[in-house]
Amino acid sequence: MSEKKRELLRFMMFVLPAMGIYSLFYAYPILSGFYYSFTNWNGFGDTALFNGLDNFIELVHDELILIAIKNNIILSVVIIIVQNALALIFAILLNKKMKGHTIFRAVFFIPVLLSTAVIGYIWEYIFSPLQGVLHVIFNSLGFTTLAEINWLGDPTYAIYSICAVVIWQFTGYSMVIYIAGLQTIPKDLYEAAEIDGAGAWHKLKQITIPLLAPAFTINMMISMIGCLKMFDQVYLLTQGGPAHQTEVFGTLIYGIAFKSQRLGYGAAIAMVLTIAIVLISTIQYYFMRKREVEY
Amino acid sequence: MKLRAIRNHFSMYVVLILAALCIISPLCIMVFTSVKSNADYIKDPLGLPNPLFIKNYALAWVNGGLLQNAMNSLILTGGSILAIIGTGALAAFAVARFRMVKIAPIVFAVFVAGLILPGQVGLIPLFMQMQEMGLYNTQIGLILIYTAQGLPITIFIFTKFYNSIPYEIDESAKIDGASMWTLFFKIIFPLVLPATVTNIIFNMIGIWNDFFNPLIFTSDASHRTLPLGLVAFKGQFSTDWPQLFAASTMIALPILMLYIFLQRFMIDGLTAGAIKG
Repeated sequence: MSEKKRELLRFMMFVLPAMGIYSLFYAYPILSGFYYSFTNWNGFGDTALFNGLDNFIELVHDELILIAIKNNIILSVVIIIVQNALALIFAILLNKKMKGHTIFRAVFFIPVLLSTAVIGYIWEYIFSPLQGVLHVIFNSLGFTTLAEINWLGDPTYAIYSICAVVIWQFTGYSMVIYIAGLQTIPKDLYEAAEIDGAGAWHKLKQITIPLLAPAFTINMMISMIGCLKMFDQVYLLTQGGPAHQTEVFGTLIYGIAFKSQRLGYGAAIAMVLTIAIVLISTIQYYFMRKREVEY
Repeated sequence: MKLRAIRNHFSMYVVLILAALCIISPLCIMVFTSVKSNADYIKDPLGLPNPLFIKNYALAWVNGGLLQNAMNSLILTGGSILAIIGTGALAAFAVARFRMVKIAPIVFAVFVAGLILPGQVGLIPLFMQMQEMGLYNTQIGLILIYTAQGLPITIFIFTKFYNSIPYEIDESAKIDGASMWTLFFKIIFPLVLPATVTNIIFNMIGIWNDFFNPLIFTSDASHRTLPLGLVAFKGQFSTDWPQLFAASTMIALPILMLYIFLQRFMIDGLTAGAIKG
């Protein structure tokens, strides 16, 4: 055996355990998911029959898909804007070496560490219409109309209540990424700007924001993908209800596949979601990269 | 000038303190409610606990089957971390250090593709596959799934760290007669301890808190993890918020304790994938 072959063999011994597990339990299921989305597969025992584009034709006429698209868009827009605005403000405030900045940073990060199961129940309690914290507070302040709102049970508000919980959970995460970005900006740029007489607003607009573009790109991409894939928060807070009004792609796929047992159709919806994620994040990446500057 | 600086600082602190209160008060509500008796709670949901009713914790511990759930969470998290670090560190080493092997970059690309491929598409086939392989409703099955899901980011981070170590070290070790295994275990792997810590933390928090995979891939009550157990507990005791919050507090506590001691590591660990990417 040549030395080259022996080297390859040794290489394979290092790689094989990881490659085996990864292929069998991650890559292969994804690839076969693409295949099953073209079948009428209904689970156990049944054979999956190829049915061409039937699933995709049904999907276009499915009203629940429209609701999911609407909700995923609401989630993405509201969360990306509010979460990034807040995170950026906190990051800029905490980037100054003021007293207690590490404590604030630590506190803002706490929700990131908690299980969504725990977070879901805390907020279900806060939002609950009878003894919920919001209800009690609004009542004692005299805002009776606000107190009567059923935050998770009323379809007008439910999706925005979910947005609020997600923003509460992940603002600290975006903030840390912005802080890391701010720390890469050379201090002498600010000094030079000050000598030229630039004020705080100018420094923010001309130096901080443009040079923070890579952190923007990362944060926007992470929030966007997270919002499109969202499942846990919706499942725990509203289960997609009331009357399917807060259904998102994640909960829809779960319901169709595991409750209605329509695995082929579920796989087709998952495939549409995947294509949407890949397309949107590629476009987003392209546009955001263009905004990044070299220095 | 000085006055303005103080005023600016003051408003800055006001904003930050208000924000911190918004972040922390839901957690305080959880803890306060958890030490109230149910009768006390119904009378005045927001009042301070008086007297402290610690018994909720004992009740929740028993009623929620938390001991069993905690054991399951520990086994799953521990087993998955061992498998992820064990296989991931080896694979990344091979990708980064076997300079003569032509397919090494391709293997790396295949692993990293997992960062982009969304798992949703694979979820349904994986579910069926687990049943066919007899791995549905088993802990080893979940460990294998967590390992597969964790490997892309883990290998990505390990490879970055391995690449920052000068290749001359490998060359001189080989001249001294070291095999690739010796090189890995004795020299290179100990040098990337920060990457190992980052990967452990990143995977550990995710698996410990995960509720989705146990929901899909197990059905027996005896396999419930802490987050999944909480959801089941809620189904049974939905009106007893104090007991529910006692259980929630106990689930959150281990991570929060760890956070107090390892704050920096945990923040860096959880954001490493994003920042170093």
